[in-house]
Amino acid sequence: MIKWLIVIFMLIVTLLQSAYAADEISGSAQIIWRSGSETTENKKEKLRSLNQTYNLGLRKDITSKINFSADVGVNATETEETGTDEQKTTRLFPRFRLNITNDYFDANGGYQLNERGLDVLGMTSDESRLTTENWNANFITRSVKYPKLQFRYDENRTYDYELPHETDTRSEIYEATADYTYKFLNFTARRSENEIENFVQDKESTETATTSEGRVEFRKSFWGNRITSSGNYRWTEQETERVAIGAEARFLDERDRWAGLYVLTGTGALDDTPALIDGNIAAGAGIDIGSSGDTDQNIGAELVRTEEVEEIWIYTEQKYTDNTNTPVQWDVYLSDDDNVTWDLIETNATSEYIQEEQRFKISFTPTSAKFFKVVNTTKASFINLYVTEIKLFGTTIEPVSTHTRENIIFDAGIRPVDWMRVTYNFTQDKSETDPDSRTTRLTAHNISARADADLHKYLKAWAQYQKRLEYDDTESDRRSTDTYSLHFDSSPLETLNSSLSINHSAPKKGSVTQSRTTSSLLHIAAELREGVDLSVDGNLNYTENLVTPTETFIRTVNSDLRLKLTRALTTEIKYTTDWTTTCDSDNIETSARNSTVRTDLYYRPVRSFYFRWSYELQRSSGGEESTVNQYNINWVMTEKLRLNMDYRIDRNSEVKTIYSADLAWNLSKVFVLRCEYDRSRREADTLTKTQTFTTILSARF
Amino acid sequence: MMKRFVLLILTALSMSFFVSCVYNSGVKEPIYSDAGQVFVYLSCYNEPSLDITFTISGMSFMDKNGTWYDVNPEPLVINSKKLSCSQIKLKEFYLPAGKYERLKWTISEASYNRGNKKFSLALPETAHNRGNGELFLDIDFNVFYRESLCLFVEWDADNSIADNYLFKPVLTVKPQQLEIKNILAYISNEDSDCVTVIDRQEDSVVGTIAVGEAPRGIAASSDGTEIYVANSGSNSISVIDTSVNRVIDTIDNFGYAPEEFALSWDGNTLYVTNPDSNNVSAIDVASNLVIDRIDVGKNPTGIVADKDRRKLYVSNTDSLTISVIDMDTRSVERTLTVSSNPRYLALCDDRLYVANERVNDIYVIEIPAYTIKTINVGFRPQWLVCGLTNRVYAASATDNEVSFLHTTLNMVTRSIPVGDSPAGMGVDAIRRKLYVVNNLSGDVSVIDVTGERVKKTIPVGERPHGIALIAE
Repeated sequence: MIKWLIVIFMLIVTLLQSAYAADEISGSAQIIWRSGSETTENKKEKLRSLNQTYNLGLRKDITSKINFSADVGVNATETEETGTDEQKTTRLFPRFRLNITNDYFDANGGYQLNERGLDVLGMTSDESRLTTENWNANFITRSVKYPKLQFRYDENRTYDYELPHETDTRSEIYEATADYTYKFLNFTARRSENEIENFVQDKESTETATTSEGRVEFRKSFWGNRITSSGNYRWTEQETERVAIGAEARFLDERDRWAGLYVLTGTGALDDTPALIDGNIAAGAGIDIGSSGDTDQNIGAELVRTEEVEEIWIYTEQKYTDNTNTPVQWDVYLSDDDNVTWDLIETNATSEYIQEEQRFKISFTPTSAKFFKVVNTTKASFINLYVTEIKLFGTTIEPVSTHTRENIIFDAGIRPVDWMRVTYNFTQDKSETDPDSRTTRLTAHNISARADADLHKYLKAWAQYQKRLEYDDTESDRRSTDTYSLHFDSSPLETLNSSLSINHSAPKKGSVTQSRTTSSLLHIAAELREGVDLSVDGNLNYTENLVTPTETFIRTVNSDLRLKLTRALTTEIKYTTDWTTTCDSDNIETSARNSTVRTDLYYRPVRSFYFRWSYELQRSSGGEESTVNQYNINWVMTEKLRLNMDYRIDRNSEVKTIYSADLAWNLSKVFVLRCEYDRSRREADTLTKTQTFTTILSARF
Repeated sequence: MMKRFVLLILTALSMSFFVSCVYNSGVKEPIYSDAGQVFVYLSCYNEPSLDITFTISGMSFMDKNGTWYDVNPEPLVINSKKLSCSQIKLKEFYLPAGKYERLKWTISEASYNRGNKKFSLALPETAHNRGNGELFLDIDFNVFYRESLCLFVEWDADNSIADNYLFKPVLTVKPQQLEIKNILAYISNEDSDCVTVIDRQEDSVVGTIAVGEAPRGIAASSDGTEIYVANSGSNSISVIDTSVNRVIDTIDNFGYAPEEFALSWDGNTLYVTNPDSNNVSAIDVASNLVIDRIDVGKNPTGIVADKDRRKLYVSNTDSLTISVIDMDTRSVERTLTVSSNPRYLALCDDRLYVANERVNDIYVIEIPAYTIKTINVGFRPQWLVCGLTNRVYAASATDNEVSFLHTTLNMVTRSIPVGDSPAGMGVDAIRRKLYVVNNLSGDVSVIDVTGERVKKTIPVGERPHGIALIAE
């Protein structure tokens, strides 16, 4: 009903002829041709692509308060790679919008269509057809005297043309917000309903989430801002209802992991491996299931609690495109209590590799346990295929779940005299979920007191004490941290600044001090003469960890010398070095020293041209050295022609060289031609070279 | 219930539209004003040696048809020594589109100071304004509908006294000419609906560019050829071509008010937060078309790109969370929960700094471990930017200060007072300058990072919000 209202709106607008209006017609076109190659050892792969995008838009001001805009765009891409067939993809995306703005409200409504797989521009698409439609409408009042009201409606529909459908979903969002400020108080209330429906045969389901939210805020100061206070209380409740109608319909919930587990081979306990659950699906956890790795590797996880699991996802660093021919096979095990005794629940479990997400999906009969592991009985055909993350999923059974969250913040400050300040801050965050009755509560108190003093005409100081208390309901002991800070500031000359900061902190768990850290920073910045700036930071940091127990002492020096040699030439030399000494519980001392030197040269003889060069050398304590050498030229040759060139060499365990050049030419007010050339060379165990030419012709009117 | 409510509002909207159309039908009215925006800046031609003070009490422009348009600024007292080598904004106003040929200033008093004595100067006489002087200047500029321009008036103070008693200021008026060769910064002015362009070598305004309504977030493309401006009032994104310094495209954001930007690791996709609709739009930079929308938490405000890891970090101010988005799959891969309202972000080395707008804390999140540490900084931080020499610069709108936070010590080493309600910041690493946009005082503070003091203040438009610097 709502979307038809919007259509009627727009039809009436386009038919109205009564008012004079300005029309704006705009358009753009872009053609990108790209050709490249990648050479590794004796293998060369080529890539060619042609991408065309065209867009035509109309904007019509019906009155000074109402405007209508419409545009239609089309995109077609052809890609050809060595070893694969030519791929053609197409997109068609028309869009309409009506905007109304006046002194009382802002409103707009619009429709957008995204068609994939249609035959456009004489090209037959290789993709199957998929249609996505979006409708939305927004209404916001502008009154300052009365509560501000906002309404939003969004509908999204996606479906394919297969019989039966593989994709057929619809989502709707209704949201209403009221906001009112009365003197120093602000009130906000919001309610939204979000419904997602799946119409695919046998997978029919509906998920509805209703969210209610309320917030009260205040900010008030007294006594000429000597006493300040502010705070807010926020309450949110979200009720989610899931209804599965189809025989295969289900909702997957990710299970909370307590620990990642791994052992190379064996039938006993697995070792704690945090990298498997660190959330980083891009970086490997050091587990190789490629042909240079091993079979029978045990990859698993311990859950926070015993739960039912029916799917395990194993993410990989590389995209494994050969699973269809050389599938990696998995056995699935569980352990009820101890990560020692494992029971086999499925041999050669159903598994597929989802390429877009770079993960294996291993499915098995839903089973409850606290520990799960998968063992690869075969290896991938790739030389290396590194595992990065493990996730476990089970089906949600409860149709209705509620999540309530309360958040309180209170802040107060008093400044009885100009040189003294005391602040107090309280935060509490409480969260409850039903039906599993899980509650978490985090409370923190923070109090600080600071005193400032002018010790001398050229010397100022301040001292601060801060105490932080944290309570977490999931932990038995509270945490607290005492921090003492002392700071001196001196600016005897306009060209000389210096400061000394000293900091000491001691975090505790319960009454037991966990560690003590003392650090100091000396900062000097001086303009030695015109065009010569020097800045030096010296930092000492001493940490005593009373739990492990270890002592760490870090000394760091950062210096930065900047020389303006001429009006056009500037150079900068930076030097950083740090020494770290660690003494462990057995009194064994280890030291490490790292240093970095970097030089930058910047030459700008005229405003239309600059040249930049930088060289960086890093040395680590193990004697490893790495360097980065970079050159950059940017030249606005004429008002229509611009050139940019970059060259970079990285040397460490491998040598990597990158060169790129970019020439942009404004042919006219409408046309722009751009040519880019990129080349890279990487020498490690193997030599890899890539080269790409790109030409872009674009037009805008 | 909710559906019926929204339906009711949309129906009311349709009816109000019908009513307004019926009322207006058959009447040909000037539906929209054909005005363009003008800024007038005044500066001294050279460092003046004479100390002259005068008051401008009126300003008018005459078009080619001889019609005068008064812009009537508040009476402004101008002093040559205070003006020195800086630039002041006399007035920001609108004029009907057309060609203009004359400028008139009404001067109510003028004096010359020498030592501790003040000598009044005679004003040019006119028949219509007894007691006030009128100054006429020949000018030549065009005002275009919906466009913005600056007029720069240069005053040669040392040659402004004739015959030892008559105040006859020597003035030159030039319209803006934005050269692409300049080293520029772009500032979005929320209440002026325009972008101010600043020359970073001279630290002075060189022009303005009209954009959409209520521009807030602003960002430069990685190659510096385009500037993107988020028009939160007109739900669109203006694209400025820096080679011609004009808007070449306007991207419709599908009804959502855009806020802040981040560019993808390859520079091909622009991500923009939409606070009112709780999502992030992904825009293809080549075609300027919205290609995706990613649902995040409530009221997403700040966004920052981690180009090495190909991730985006989005602060959801009202749901007290931070969304981590994978740029390759364009989906949320994890959500971090915090205990107060996160707003603006800065990613420095492997640490994400998050400003909390309601408490005196900054969250420091180690990447990729995602461990969260809280630092109490003693003020309410809003905007953050990665600085030089291991510093993070934090602006506090409540204290009107910018503080330098040392990233190893996690301690504030310097606080510098700036203008009223500091907002967006930008760092010029080559020239060692920090630009701080002051939202309520309508100016930009230029801080010398080495000397840790404000060097200059540049007046811009009304309620400036963000700043984008072309990288070198």
